Amino acid sequence: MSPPSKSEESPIGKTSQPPPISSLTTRIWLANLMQMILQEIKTQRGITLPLLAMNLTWFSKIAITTVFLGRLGELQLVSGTLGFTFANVTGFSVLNGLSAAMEPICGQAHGAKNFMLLHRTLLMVTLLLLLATLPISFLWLNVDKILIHCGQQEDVSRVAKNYLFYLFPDLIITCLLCPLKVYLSSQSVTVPIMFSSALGLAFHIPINILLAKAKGLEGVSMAIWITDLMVVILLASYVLMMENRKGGNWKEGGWLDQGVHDWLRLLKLCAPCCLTTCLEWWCWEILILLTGRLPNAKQAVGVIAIVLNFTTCFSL
Amino acid sequence: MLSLATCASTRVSNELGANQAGRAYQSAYVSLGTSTISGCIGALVMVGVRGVWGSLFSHDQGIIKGVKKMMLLMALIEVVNFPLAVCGGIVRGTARPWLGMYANLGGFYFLALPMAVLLAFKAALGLGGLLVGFLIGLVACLILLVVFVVRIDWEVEAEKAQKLAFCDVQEVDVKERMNHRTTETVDGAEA
Repeated sequence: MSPPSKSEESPIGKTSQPPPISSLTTRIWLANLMQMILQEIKTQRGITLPLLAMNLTWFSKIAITTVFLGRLGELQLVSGTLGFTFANVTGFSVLNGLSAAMEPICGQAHGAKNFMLLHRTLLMVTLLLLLATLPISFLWLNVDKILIHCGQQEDVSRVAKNYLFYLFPDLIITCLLCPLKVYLSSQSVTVPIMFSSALGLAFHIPINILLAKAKGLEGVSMAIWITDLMVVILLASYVLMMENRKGGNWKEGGWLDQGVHDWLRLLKLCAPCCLTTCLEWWCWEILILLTGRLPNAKQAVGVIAIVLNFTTCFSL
Repeated sequence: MLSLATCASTRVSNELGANQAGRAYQSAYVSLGTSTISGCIGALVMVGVRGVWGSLFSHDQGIIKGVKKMMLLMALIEVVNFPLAVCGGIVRGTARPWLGMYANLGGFYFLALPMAVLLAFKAALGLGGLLVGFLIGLVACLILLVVFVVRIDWEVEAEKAQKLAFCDVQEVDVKERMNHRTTETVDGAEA
């Protein structure tokens, strides 16, 4: 900002003609630039803030689950947390990464007003995610063997498997939820996502209280997918309403006519998207594993856990 | 960070799909700027609370001291991490996510992890060494991605996006483009 104001004052003394014109144009240019930037920031704020709130509900949900697990007892807390970490690393990170491949296709299709492509991609990604759950569910069903093989205690592994078994519906619900979220957010529609996640979170605590009393560990794990199911139903009905209302895009159709090249293109985008997410995620897990091998491991792990606790606030 | 990245990818891909290369370019750079600023704010917050944070979780004096030191390094990592995530989002918005994958692979696995191991175990720098190794890897990753983003030819990307979004609706293609032009002018008039 300061250079143009300087150049504005200096020509007054010289009284030469060209500098004022150039300073005027730079000033207009700067004003336009500022206006453009402000406009853009406003648009981006509209997209980012609801997403931020949505991610916040996701973290609060994990925190609530951990609190209820902790109230059940030490063994339940340890195995539940272990099971959930396993679920994240093998399941949810992969599903999230795969659905990120939807972003470029849906975003560009929305920009180009090609609603057929949007519809088709939503269905294709949902199908793809459901297919991806097959190998993941195989891993989940054998989680006790894997954990024992990695040197975990037997009772912890068994409880963790029980926890994952009751979390299983969440795998399929996430397959529906992730594409819906991306479908809406790539059209710059993020407020409904925020409201539905917030409503889900509001019901999470009462459901947890009820189920934890009735069924213990299994109840806590069931509460996770029950609230997710609510969010899916809310979002799906929002999408249906939005598409069917006057001026909606339902009649554009194109849900089912998918060709081989559509699938090829989607798969070509999916692999790197999924790998990017997973590679980054796993690298931080490796950092924690490496910390455990330091000479004063106990203290170092404590330090890194506390520090990373803080940085998760930023990953929202 | 995640929401900023999603936002960047949404904005860039929407504008590219609408064949607005200039607007896509603006969105990309504005989101990069926002992320850099938020990264710096985040780092400042981290430096500010580093004395208190450790004692919330532990009473062990050694751990509290360690947290105080590591928060400084972690703050530096966050400054890099924010624009890194947004660069990933921009690259994803242009439908070329493999660029992000290569940068991640190179930065994290060929630089960050080996450097971390070297510094922590060979140079016996402990946890600080691990984090410095990560910082070096992340900076390299960010430089790579920023170079990718700067070298993006937005006109070409917009053309590609048109192909991606219209490759199968050849017969309606022209009509839809015409429709789209008219809505655009309406938008412009409103703004």
